[in-house]
Amino acid sequence: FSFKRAYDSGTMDQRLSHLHNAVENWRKCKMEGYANMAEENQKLLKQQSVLEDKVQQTLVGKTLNQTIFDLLTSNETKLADKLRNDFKMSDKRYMFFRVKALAKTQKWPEIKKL
Amino acid sequence: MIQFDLLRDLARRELLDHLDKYAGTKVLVWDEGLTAPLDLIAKHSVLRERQVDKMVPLKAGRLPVDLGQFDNVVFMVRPDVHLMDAVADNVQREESAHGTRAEFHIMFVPQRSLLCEMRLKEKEVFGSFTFLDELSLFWFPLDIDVISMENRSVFRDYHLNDDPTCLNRVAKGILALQSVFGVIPKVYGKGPAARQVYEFMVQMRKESIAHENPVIGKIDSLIIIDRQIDLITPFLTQLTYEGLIDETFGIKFNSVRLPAHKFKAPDSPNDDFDDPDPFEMKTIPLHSGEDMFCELRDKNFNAVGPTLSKKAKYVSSQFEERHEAKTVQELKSFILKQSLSIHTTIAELVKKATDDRRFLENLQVEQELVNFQNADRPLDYLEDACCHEEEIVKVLRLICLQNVVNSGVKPKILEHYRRLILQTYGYKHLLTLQSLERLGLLNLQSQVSRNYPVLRKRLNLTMDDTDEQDPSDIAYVHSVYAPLSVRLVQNFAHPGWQSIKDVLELLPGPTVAETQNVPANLKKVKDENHQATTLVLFVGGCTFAEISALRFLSQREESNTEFLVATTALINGDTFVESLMTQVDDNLAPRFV
Repeated sequence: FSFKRAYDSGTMDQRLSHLHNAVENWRKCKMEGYANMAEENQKLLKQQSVLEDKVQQTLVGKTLNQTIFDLLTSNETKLADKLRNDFKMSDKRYMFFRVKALAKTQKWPEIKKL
Repeated sequence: MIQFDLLRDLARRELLDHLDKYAGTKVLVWDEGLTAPLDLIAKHSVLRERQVDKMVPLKAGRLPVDLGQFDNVVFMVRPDVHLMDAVADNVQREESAHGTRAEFHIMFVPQRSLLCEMRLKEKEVFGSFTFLDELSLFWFPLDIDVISMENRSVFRDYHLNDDPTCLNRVAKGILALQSVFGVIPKVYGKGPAARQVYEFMVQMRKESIAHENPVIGKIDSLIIIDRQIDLITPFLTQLTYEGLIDETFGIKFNSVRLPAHKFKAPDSPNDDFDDPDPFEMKTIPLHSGEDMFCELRDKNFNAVGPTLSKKAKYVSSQFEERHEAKTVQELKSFILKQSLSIHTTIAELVKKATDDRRFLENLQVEQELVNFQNADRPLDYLEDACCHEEEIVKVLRLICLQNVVNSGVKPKILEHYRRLILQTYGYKHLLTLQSLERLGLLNLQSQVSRNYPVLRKRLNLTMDDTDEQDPSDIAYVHSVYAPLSVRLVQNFAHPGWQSIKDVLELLPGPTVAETQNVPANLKKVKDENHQATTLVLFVGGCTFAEISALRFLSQREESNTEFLVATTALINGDTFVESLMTQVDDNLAPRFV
């Protein structure tokens, strides 16, 4: 099954191509929900590799929550904010990670400002 | 009252008969999945009497033992094809090393498999085996009234992968039981798997009717419950003493592993100088052989404290009086004192886990779900849980419960849950979400009427006035909810399933109501208090809480039915969800995450 093969593959472009097949297969059998999620997976991987160069941290393969948290702790708030909108992360969850990141980097005044 | 210990003796005899066939000294290479079950059947001492001088776990590569002094190498394995590679590797290396004179044998538990034999032929080691035996050990007797096949993948194999072979083995297991306890005249059941097991039973019985050994029937009726007809109970947190131990620490083969230093007697000198190693674990047996555990196990956890303190007062009063006399009585109260201290410690450990804020909140959300109170709370609670990186099985467990109770969720919520899981735990879990949808555990709410509200009313599944100290209804096992499966069994015993025909129609799959013909002379002779014995078979797994509820029904005075439990596996919410997940490892993910 192409989705599983995607996760067996070791390189980025192999995974992206398998994910692409998975999206098509799911679309063919009218399973929009899963096709969209597989597409989101592709989107996340692509964005992670782009962001990696910007912030000099390994991000590929991490979960979205983890990626946003890492961005926030290296105070890349603008990038994190954009990512969260792309993936429709709920405000509550985003706020939680913001506070957690600020706490981790002891930026207490910012927390008060929130 | 029949006891399943008889099965253990049978299995032991069969094992020892096989061992006697291999003349001379033996080294036993066993598959680690069989460790605990084997302990149940034959202790090391018994094996040593049969010249089993060494026992070694099955691993590829050279056998960690000098074969010079052994006449036989006996492999004891489950019929899994991938285990054959390790077996073949062992044999090839030994034979190439110095052409040992030892003979090789394989004992499959519980039965041989063609696939495995083909694999061994592929590896060209099939010829080197002298005996290929099978230990037809279908049931592991976990207690005098509970037997289990310890196969956690039955529900997944049948309901997700549509593979009925596992049910074929369940039917074989029932026939094996009937060869010991006699043919069971009345067979009832509910659910597709129940029907399938019954059909296999009929087919097999036709083939083996000729040499069916005549045994006077001891079991009156068999009720086959397909887990699929009651998917609410496993997802709810069990609140009995044994159930909670399983929920918090996990019970495997009648024992639980807990931090050893908690059990060091305070006055005993601390042997290791630095503070005791916190990771050193102690395996504590939990079996009805121990009176204290037998009394506590089925109680609601809130009733355990008072019982323990009452026992403590009794023991201390006992102990003073008889201080001097070295009577058996003193020994007896010493044992009581010891098991009292063990269970007090266990109860404290469980209490610490159940006082945890998140445990209580989770429990409250569960109880609100089964009572249809504030429907939007689970969403917030799960959002928090994911922020705090709660274990994925715990999150999925609650989502499945909400889904089953409401026969699906609204589109917006479904998408929200999917995102929540995939964004917190990784997109690799998409296949798991798809499996859950196919099993009706995470799907869109169809317009069709929701079953649970009707079931809840007709079978009064939720009670809010249960007395946990001295319960009057099986709902005490979850404090507010009576297991649907056990309610069906309760209705079967009295007033009978015809009275709830409409309810049975609501549940998935066919209803089984058949009789097996039993020769007149083998019919069960009605004993004076005409106590009926009913075997309840859970296909797909059952929880300790369900067993406690069945024991509760057996013990009630006016009940004239004795319930015995057979199950394909003992499960709880976490292990059940785990058995349904698709394990996908992610080669790109950085290792340290």
